[in-house]
Amino acid sequence: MKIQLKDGKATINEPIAPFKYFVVTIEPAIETPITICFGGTSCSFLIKDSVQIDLDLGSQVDSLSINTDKLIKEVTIDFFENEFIEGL
Amino acid sequence: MYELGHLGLYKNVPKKSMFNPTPNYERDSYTLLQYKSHLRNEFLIPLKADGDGTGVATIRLQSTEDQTINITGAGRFYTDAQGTTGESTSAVVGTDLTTLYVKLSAGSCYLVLTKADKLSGLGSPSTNVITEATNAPIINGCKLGYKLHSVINIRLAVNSKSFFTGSIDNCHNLGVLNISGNRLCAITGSIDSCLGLTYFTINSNPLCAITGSIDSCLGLTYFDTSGNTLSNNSGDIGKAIFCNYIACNGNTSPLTYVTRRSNWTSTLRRIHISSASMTTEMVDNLFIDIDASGVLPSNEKLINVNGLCAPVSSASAEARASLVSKGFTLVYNNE
Repeated sequence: MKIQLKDGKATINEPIAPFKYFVVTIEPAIETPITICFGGTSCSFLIKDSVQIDLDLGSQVDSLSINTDKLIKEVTIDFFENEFIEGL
Repeated sequence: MYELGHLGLYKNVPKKSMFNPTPNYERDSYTLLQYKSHLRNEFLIPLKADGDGTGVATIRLQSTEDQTINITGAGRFYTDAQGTTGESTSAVVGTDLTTLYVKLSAGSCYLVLTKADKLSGLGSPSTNVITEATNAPIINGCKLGYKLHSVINIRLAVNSKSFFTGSIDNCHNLGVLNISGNRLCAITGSIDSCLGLTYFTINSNPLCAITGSIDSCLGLTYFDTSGNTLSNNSGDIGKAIFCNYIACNGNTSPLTYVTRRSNWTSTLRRIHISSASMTTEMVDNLFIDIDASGVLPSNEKLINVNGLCAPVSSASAEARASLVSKGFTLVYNNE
């Protein structure tokens, strides 16, 4: 989903099906910290252009909010449901 | 004057034992053979033919001194990976990791190690005990059923057919248990029995049920119970001073952060826990102490205290921002 930001912030109130990981892409591509809240869970990380985050919350979330640098105008988040095995 | 029959006690007199300690590999059950082997200081690895039996399995074992290994039934050792030369029913497991090429045309058989107390490796930290191949035999539920005093390595990662059962309580010198990605192993026991444990992963295995405290394993460097819901491990990650990988996603072990410290490892790969015993103060202190220590992220670069952990408070806000700027990915419950 593409999300337009205002002053580096956005809130989406719509259900998101369970996922195993997601990929975030920002526009413009500058290195900046970003926090994405899925309901009561926050995920904070550094992003330059695009990053994959493994995060299995195990259930649907009903809202999503983004907080990042004011220079970031647009965020794209794609959710994936594939299984993965870590640390082999 | 008195006879047992008159007193009604004869029923309690044990019958004369008919126990024959000599193993009969064709007829005795695996359980009985294990007991007989235990009495003879032998260790059995049961093998089962797979497919048409024309393939060769590669098995790797290690011993603290040379020992003979025999194979029963239709099983055969070979000296080449193709299974064409040096056919025999016995071989030697040496003090280096020893490779055995094994063929089994049909049915099942046993590998019989003749000095169970000297067996040190079922594989090595970097090599599986068996490499499965098409139409080659598999390890058919090898049970850690009796004391294996010298075993320090057990590795059977990402195998699709072979598996172990039994308890790590019988391997009190165990240093490495790696069955990551193996979904068939069903191992029990407590890490409290394995004080020398350094590397422990049962990642993605649903059947193991292992208990104990990480506090017992002072040299722990890697601990992973991700995807395993049956294991329950307690302990203080503040005491695991050599460990830069603690992953318990999908597992709700009651780990804590009680002992505050600044001496983290040179780099930190991952802390991923979902523990109802983690209070807000512990979660905050974890972020604050990791940040203050200056430890840098590597590989996964993840600190995840989501799930059952208590939410963060504003006390750790500055530390969290700093950790993100260093490259960590943080996942936590909102305040």
